[in-house]
Amino acid sequence: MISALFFLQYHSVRNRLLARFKRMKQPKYLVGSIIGVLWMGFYFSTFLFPAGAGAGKDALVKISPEDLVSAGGALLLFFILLSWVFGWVFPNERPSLAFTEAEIAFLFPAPISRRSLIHYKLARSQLAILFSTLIFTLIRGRWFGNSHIWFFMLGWWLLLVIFSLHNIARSFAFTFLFERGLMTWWKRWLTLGAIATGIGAVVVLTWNHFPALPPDNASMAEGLNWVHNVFSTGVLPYVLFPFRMVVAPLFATDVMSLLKALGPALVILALLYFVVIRANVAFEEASIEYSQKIATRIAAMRERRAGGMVAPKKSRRDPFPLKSTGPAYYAILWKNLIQAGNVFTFRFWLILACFTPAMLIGASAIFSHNAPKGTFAAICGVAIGGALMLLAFSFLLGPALLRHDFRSDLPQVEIIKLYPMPGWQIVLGEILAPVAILAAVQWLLLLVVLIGLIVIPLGSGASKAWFVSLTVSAMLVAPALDALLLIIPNGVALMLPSWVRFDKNAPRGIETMGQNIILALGQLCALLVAMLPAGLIFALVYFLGGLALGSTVATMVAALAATAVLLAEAGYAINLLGKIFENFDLSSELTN
Amino acid sequence: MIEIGGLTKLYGDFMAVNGLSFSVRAGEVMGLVGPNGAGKTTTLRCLAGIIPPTHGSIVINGCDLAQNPVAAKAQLAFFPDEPKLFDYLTVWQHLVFVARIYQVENFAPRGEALLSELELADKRNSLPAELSRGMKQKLAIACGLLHSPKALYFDEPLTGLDPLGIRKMKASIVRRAQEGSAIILSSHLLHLVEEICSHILILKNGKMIAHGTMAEITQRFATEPGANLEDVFFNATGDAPAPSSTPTPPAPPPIISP
Repeated sequence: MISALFFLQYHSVRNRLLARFKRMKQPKYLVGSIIGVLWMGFYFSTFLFPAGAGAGKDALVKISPEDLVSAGGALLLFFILLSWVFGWVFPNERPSLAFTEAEIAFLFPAPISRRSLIHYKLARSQLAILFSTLIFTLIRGRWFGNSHIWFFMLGWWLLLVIFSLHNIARSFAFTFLFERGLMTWWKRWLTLGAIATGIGAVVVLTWNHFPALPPDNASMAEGLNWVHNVFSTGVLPYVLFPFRMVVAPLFATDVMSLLKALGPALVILALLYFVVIRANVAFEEASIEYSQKIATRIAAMRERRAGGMVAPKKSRRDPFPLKSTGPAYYAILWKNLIQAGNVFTFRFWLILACFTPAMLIGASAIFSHNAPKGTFAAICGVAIGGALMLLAFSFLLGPALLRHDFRSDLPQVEIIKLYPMPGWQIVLGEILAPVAILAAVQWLLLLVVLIGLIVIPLGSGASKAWFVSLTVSAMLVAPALDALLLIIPNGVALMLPSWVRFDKNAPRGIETMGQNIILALGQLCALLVAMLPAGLIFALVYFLGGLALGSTVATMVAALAATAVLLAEAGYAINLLGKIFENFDLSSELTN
Repeated sequence: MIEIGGLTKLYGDFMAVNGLSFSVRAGEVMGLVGPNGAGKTTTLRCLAGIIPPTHGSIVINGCDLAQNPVAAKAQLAFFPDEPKLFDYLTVWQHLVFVARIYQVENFAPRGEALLSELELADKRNSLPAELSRGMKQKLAIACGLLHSPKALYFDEPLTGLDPLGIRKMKASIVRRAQEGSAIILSSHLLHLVEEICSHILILKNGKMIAHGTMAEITQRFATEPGANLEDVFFNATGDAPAPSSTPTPPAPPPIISP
């Protein structure tokens, strides 16, 4: 029977790997794989190629091996303890022995013993554990050099296996308690209370022996040593004793210390294994329930929930009344704004646009009279700085976060292609919603900056007209720049749809990582090229206008000219993408 | 109404549809049948403008789909086997959206009438997630019919419907044809095709094997009198199942009332 289970395991892995290799016949995956491997090689070069690691070594974290053993161990202990407490107080809905629907259909009715099923799942988990061990080892090698790497690998493997067994045992314990009606919510609070009391008792018993805090300018090693000292204080060494035994092999420095550390860790592993194998707990029901939940989620995602968008539970208000006649692309804007949620209704933004300045002006009126000048300036400075930072983030991350466009609609392309609209209108309609949302956010932030700059007591040198000019210029340029920023990823989605992740079931792996690197670099280059003409026009108009009109007016005129250039580029790109959309053949694109 | 000339669709070297030519006039219901992988769905997708054909022409009510896609698409509706809806739009918002896309002036009375006809009136503020599979199908149909299309394509229209839904759907298709629409219906349910279609087109490996009225096809392929469409289909495609080797069980004794 075991041989049949290993046959299943072996062929599942083999077929998955073969499928990965087969898809490399397509250039997009081959190129992605090459870039992915090169990047991985470059990232871990200090570890993989120690001879050339001289320069890299300087960048390594400067901690002595002793510090690493003591303080690093203490830090790891802390995280393990945290995870242990969290796991017991807030148990995961996922049973630790989770089976897929196919496994349940084939294995549960088969004449296979319970013990064999547990062994099968333990063997299956080894793949993930070995992969995680490899990744942790590579990361450690990059940062701390490659000394004692085999000890480290063994230690990580042992730690992860113990963790995995502990999770199964904990899951069995909860199932056991649940079957006996002992897992009501107040019992969980009782557990939480017991743990909190335990922590409190430890703090009280340790408080008087607590080591002094490290100085502000302490090095990283000193900081870690302080953590180590804390864990060696009072009753903490006794409380942490089992956890120390689990992590000890990770920090072995020679063969003798490794052997010494391995013994207790193996005893814990054996104990947990014994509990898991011997526990008379029915795991089947929880597994079936969970696998059905997962299958439903996957089916729902495959059906429609593209781009990680979660289906709403409540209907959403119309962002604005949509008449049945007029430009058809408004309908797509309307639809995508509904998708974005209730916070993107026109009414919401109107209220926000009126409320924010009123609040800022009111606050400035109060503070400018009552608070000391320095405090008021500091508050204004924080508001301006925060708004500017959010503004920068909106340009950098906004287009990636707001995906209410082709990136969420392409899985519905079968319906969208039916619409009696020219391609450019569909493209325009698709990008309008994220552009409108981003522009609204940016205008609001610019308004905050402007009010902050006007009310801040800067002295006589600063011109309020200059601030207004700058803000108005930024407000002019922002939507056009947003349009360009959003056209690029939408263009990628249309031209290389199989490179864009539409849902969580999209292919993963080193080749998709390589594809993402290429896409990010490509988008950056496209943006730079697109911004170059606008930048040149801005500089030219500002220079010439400055001579005739003065810099305040010239800034706004130059911004207007730059906006016109950006809009012309956006218009051209939308037209081009429209033609691509009209000839878009999803059947041959997404099936690849 | 629907005129197709030399429709061909290639996926790389694979020919999914091979030089189809036919026409469907107003009032006709054409059944598109064929074994799995015959190219039925690909044909319908090409006819709807979802995927571009490699060669050939598609003319809907005088508008060439390639030359004038906007005008051609304004006159057709495609109902895929799985209703494709937007998760975040309610039933009524779907109709508002479709009305703007298809520029249906004063759509509200027609929308209300469609919802009543399809028994969705009390669901107008529901999201698709709150609807059953059959109701989703009905909503997709309401959206497709809102702009009174002249050409309708149905891909497995009875999937997921209950017996009453099936009866209503069949009646609805026949009524649309009687009102002057040209209808193409793709299905594996040969009894459905036999019941409501006036014409049949049999596809195999992307090629047209037979095309004509039900009577013409039966006359050509039936090997014995009284043959039904299933017999005709197997004779036409050459896929007749092998005779069963197990003997037929004896008929149960007749029930004699006392």
